[in-house]
Amino acid sequence: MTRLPDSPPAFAEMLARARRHDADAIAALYQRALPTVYRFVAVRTQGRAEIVEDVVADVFLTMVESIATLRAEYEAGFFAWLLQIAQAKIARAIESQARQRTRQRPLPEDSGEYATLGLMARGTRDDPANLHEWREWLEEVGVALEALTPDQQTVVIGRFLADQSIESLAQVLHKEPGAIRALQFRALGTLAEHLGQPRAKRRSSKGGRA
Amino acid sequence: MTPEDRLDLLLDRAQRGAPLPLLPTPPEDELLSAAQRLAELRQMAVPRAFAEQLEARLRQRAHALQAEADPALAYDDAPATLPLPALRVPRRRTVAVTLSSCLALALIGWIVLASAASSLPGDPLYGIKQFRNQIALSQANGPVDRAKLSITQLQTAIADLSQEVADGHSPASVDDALGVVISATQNATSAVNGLAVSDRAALQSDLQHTLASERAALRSALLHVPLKEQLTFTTQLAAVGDTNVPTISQVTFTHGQGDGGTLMITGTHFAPGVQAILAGRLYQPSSQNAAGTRLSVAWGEFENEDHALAVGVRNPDGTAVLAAQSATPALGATATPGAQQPTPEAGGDDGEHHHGTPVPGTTPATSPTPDR
Repeated sequence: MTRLPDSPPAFAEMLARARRHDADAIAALYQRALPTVYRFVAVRTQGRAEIVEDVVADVFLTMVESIATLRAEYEAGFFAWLLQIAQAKIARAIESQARQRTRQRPLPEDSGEYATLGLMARGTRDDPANLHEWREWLEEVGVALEALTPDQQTVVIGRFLADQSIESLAQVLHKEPGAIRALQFRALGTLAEHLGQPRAKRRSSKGGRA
Repeated sequence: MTPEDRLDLLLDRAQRGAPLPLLPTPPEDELLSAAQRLAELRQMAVPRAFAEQLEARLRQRAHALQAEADPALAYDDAPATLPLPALRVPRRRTVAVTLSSCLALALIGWIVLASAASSLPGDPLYGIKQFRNQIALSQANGPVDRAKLSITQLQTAIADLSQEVADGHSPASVDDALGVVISATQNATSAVNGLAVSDRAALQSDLQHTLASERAALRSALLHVPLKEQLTFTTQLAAVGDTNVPTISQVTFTHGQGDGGTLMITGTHFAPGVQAILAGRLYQPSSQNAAGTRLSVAWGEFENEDHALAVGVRNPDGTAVLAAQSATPALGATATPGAQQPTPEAGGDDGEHHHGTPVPGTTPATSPTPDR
C-alpha cells in the first residue's frame, strides 16, 4: 500500500503525479480519502448500502478522470473537492432512487438493504438490535448534516471525519481561521439541536427501559 | 478568547485525548457532545473487498488514461488480465472519439457537397458536383426518373454556363461549362428518346422547353465570348435545333492577275455585316450577295499559299462557322460542305478585324488594312 506523504510539498508532488495519471499516486490519494468519503456518503444517504458503494465508486472514478482540473495543491482542498463531487453524486443518486421507488414495491426493512457490514460500527455486525440502532443513528446524523450550510458541512466533515486543521479549511473556503471557528461553533450548535443524546447514553437508557 | 476559539481549543484537546484545560460551560458541553457523536462515524469501516476492488479499478483507469496520453506506456505495468469495468470506460471514449471523428467528417463532407452544388466549371469542387450527378443518374429509379434527372441536370448546366459567361470567367472555364452543357444535352436527349412511347410524350415537352432555354442561353452568350468560343457555341446551337446559324458549303480561291486573287465563301445564313475568318483572323468581305449565301474577300500576296488556312464566317450576332476542311490557296480551290468543329488556328482571335488582303506580314501599302 502506498503511503500518502504528510508534508504539504510532498502532497503537492503526489497531486502532480496523480494529474499525470500515475497509478500509485492515485491509489495513495484514494486510500487516504476513502474512509472520509465513504462515511460522508453513508451518512448523507442514511446508510443505504445499494447507493453508498455506487456513489463512492463514482466519486473516485470521477476523481481519476478529473484530477487534472483540480487546482488545489494541499490536502484540505483535495478533500473539499472530493466532497463537492460526492455531494453532486449523492443528490443524483437519491433523486434516481426516488424515481425508482415510485415504480417499485418498497423493500421490507429487514431485507438487507441496510445490512451491509461495511456500514456497521465495529462490534455491531452480529447484533440485529445494534444494526437497527446504527441505522437510526446514521439517519439522525444525515438529517442533522442536512440542516447545515454547505460551508458548515465542509468544516465539520473536514474537522471530525478528515482530520483537517482550521487553517487548512480556511484555505479551502477562502476565509480567515477565525471565520472557520465561527462556522464550526454554529455548525456544532445546529448539530447539537438535532442529534439529542449521545449514542452511548441512548444505548444505556434503552437497556434500562428493557 | 472568543467562545469560538475556546470551543476549538476544547475540541482539539478532546480529539487528542488530552485533559481539558478548561471546564466546559453548559453551551460548550453540548457542542463538544455533538462533535463527539459526529466523530463516532469514524467507527464505520469500509468493506475491505469493496475498497480493494475499487482501488484496482482506479489503477486500471489511471493506466488507461496514461496510455491515451502516451501510447508508449499502454498497459506496460498493468495486470495481465483486466476486469471488464476497467475496460469499459476507455472503450466508451474510443467510441466517442470515433463518433466525433465521423460526425466531423460528415460535417466536412456535407459542407463540401453543399459548396460543390453551387460550384461552377473551373472551380476546384466542380468535379465533385459532376461526380455527384453521375451517381445520382446511376441510382435513378428507372428510365423515367433518369430522364427527368437528366433534364434537370441539363437545366443546371445551362444555368452554370450563363453564370460563367456573365461573371466574365476565363475562356477555358467557359469551354468547360459548354462541354458540360453539350454532354448534358446528349444525356437528356438520349434518355428521353430511349423512353417508351407512352412515357416519352410528357418528358419530350420538358426536353424541348429546356433545349429552347439552351438556345436562348447560347445566343445570349455569343456576344460575350471570343471567336473560338463563338465557333463552338454556334456548333452547339445548330445541334440543339437552331437553324438560323451560318453554314459553309464551299470555299474557292481564284487567282487574279499578279499575286492577288479572290476568296469566295458559299453557304447559308450570311447575315448583313458578316465577316470572313481566315487563319483565325476576321476580314471584311469585299462583296456579299443579298441572299446571304455568298461573300468574297480580295486576296493579296500568297505568302502562305503552301499552308492550309482555316476559313469561316462570323455574323454580327456572334454565330460563326468554319469550313469543314482548311483551304490551301495554292491549290486554287477547296470545296467542303457543312461546318466543322473549331480548329486551334481559329482560336487566334486577337480582337483585330481585317479586310482586303488577309496575308499576315504584308505591308499596308501593298495589301488592304485589316479591319479593326
